[in-house]
Amino acid sequence: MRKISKRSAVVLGAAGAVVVAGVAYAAWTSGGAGSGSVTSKTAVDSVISSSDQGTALYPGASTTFKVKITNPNDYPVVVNSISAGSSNEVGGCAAATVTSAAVANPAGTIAPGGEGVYSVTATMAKDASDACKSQVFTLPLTATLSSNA
Amino acid sequence: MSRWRTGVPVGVLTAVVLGWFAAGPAPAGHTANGGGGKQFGIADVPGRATALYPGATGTRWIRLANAENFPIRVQTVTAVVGKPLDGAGRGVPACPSSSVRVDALATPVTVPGNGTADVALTTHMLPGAPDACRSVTFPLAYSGTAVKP
Repeated sequence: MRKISKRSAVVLGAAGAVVVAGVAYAAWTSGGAGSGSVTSKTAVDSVISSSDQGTALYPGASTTFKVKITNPNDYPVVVNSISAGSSNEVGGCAAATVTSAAVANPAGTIAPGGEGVYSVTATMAKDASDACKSQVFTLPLTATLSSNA
Repeated sequence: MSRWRTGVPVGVLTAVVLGWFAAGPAPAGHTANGGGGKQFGIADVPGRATALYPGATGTRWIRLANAENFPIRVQTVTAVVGKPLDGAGRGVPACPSSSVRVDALATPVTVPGNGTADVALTTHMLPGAPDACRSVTFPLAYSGTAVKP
C-alpha cells in the first residue's frame, strides 16, 4: 500500500477544510417574506356656494355671478364641470325664470383644503312676470371634480 | 521513487484548493433561499403608510426582522399588490390591483443580528385609477433576499 507523505496529508487536510468552508459560506443566504397593505384615501364631497350675486336682472338680461367650490380633501382637485342651473319658484315668480349655462372644464386647480371661485352666467327669461321684480333667485348647481395629483 | 516526488500531486491539490476559494463566494452571491438560512421577516410598520389617491406617490414603511444572531444584508424586497378589499373585507372588482404599484427596495439594508431595520418602499397609484378604488385596502405580499455581509 502506498504511503502518503506528511506534506501530502497536510495539503489534503487543508483542501478538506476549504471545501467545507466553501459550502458553509454558500449557505449564508436567506429569503424573507411577509404581508402588508396600503390604503387609498376617502373622497370627501366639495361644497358649492354663492360668492357674489352679480348685477340685478330684468327680463332678457344676463349677469355673471361667482360661485365658490371648496376642496375638503387633502389632495388637489380640478373642476370638470358645473351644471346648468334653473331657479326655484320664489314669491310667485315661476321656477326656471332664471337659468344659467353649464360650465365645462374651468381653468385652475383647487389646492388641498382650499377653494376656488368660478364664474357662471345667468339669464332672466324675457317673459318674466312682475312677480319676479326685486327677488333673489336660487339656482341649485352641482359640480363634478376629480383628483389632480 | 522518492517520497518527495509526491510534490507533483501536491501541486494538483493546491490548484483544487484555489478553485474552491474562487468558487466559494460565488454561490453566496446568489439570492435564492439558502440552505439552512432562516427566513427574515417583512412586515408593515403600523401607521406608517401614505393613503393613496390617483396620481399620488407615497411611502409604505416596512420592518425587516432578522432572527439570526449575526447581521444580514437584505438585498432585495419586492411587493406584489393583491386584489383590493373594501371596509367590510369584500372584494372590489371594479378596482384592479394594477391601480397601485410598489417599488422594490431601492438600496440594500443591513439588519443587525436578532434585530430589525425599518425601510420605506415607494408606492404609487395610477392617475387613471377608477372611483371604485376610493377607501379600499390593497394587500401586499412581500418577498426578499439577503446574504451575510
